[in-house]
Amino acid sequence: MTTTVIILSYKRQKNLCKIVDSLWRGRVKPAKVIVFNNDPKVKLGDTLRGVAVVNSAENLFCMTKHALGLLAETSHCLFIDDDLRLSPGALGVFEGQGRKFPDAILGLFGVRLRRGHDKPYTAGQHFNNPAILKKPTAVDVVVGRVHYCHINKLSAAFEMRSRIPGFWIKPFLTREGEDVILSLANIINGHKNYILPTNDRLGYADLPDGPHSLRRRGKHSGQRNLAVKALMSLGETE
Amino acid sequence: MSITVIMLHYKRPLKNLEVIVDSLLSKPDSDLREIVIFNNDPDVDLGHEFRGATVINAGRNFFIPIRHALALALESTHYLFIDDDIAISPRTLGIFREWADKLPEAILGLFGVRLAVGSEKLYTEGEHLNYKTRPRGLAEVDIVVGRVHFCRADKLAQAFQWRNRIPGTADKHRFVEDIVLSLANRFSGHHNFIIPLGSGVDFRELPPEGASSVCEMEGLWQGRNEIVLDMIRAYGEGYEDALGL
Repeated sequence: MTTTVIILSYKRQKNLCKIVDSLWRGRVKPAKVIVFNNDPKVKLGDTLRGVAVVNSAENLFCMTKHALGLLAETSHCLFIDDDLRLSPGALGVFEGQGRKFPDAILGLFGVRLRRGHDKPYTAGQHFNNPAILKKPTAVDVVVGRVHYCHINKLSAAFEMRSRIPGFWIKPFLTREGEDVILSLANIINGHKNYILPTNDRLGYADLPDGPHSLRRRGKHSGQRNLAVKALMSLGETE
Repeated sequence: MSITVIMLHYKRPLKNLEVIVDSLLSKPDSDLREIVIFNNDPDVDLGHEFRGATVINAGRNFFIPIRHALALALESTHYLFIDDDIAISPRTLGIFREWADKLPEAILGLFGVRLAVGSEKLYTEGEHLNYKTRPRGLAEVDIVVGRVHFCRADKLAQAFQWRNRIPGTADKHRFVEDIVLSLANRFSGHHNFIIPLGSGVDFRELPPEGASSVCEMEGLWQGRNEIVLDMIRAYGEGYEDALGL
């Protein structure tokens, strides 16, 4: 089992050194680290230790990280947002749990959808504090801030998305709904997703997220409801 | 329909990029959304924008499959992929669009291969349709050669799903993404075509110098035969029927 770490960067370049340094300090090290810089106003150089940087002239949004993951030369990918630093031992824990749950999407934060509700995502049960979990806990959606999976899951998600009629004119499904699509595609395909409890080895620290956080946008949550409903109806149909 | 043109750049003369982009933008097709250049050469910085095309500069070579992966992160319904040693006119792009309306499930291109029945070297011993050997009309092929190809976005997702079924490491896919795309489509029950030249369809070969030519790479052709065999094995029994061989 080997892991490529993919970090999407947008207007939080100052956090990158901390995130990357922590990864390299772990006993289990990533096979590769890729930073995709979505901020056209900034050109990231080669100063980040052991990182391949891609500088984009336009913001290609969150879906890009899964697209890059398709090409990983490793069995697994770990995706980390640029406002969160994982502890050095985190990758080792993800790899260990990945062996235990080979078909799962794993992460630290998640949502159990409220079925039958008009707002299945926002009205669902949100797990935002992994420190209170006793054991790996099943969720429907693993929130994209940190997630880990086999790379086959990424192509399954893109394939599932392509079955949603007119997905290309729904910006949320082409830009920012990558975690919802990945998680629900996995569930529709008959698997489970889990969030993991934090402990001595698996920890995280929030880093400054600036004014650009998607979570600060009211519309963002509503769009997640729409994405869930689009995927759930696909699952019911099939 | 909305179309994004994706072009990879690696070591070839920058003049080629100028010719290709200028040609496409000289009279842009009404459905052309944007041209994206993915610069795979870490030694060259193309800046943010290249004569109207959006640029992505990579710090390492992601090889050829990056163009299909990148398309999955964009928002067009259709994609034209073009190598950086061939230029086509805007009219050619328009004709691809017209054929895609008529043949929505097909991978379309300008060069192709019909696999050789019963051979271990199905690709290299197949019938290669290029500008010297191709028939005048629309020609069905098994593989649309990657130099110029046009398809709907969902075909790319289909190809990556197929890629997972092939044993081995990612490096074996570096130069065969066109085969995986085409055969995944054939095995899914669809047909692929090269479109007729003439009536506005044209292309111009550009200087290849500077590039380490993929065609001369050791093991390239063997690798292309092997990936065809890998996909046939992954499909299992009945592949002859699926391919109409």
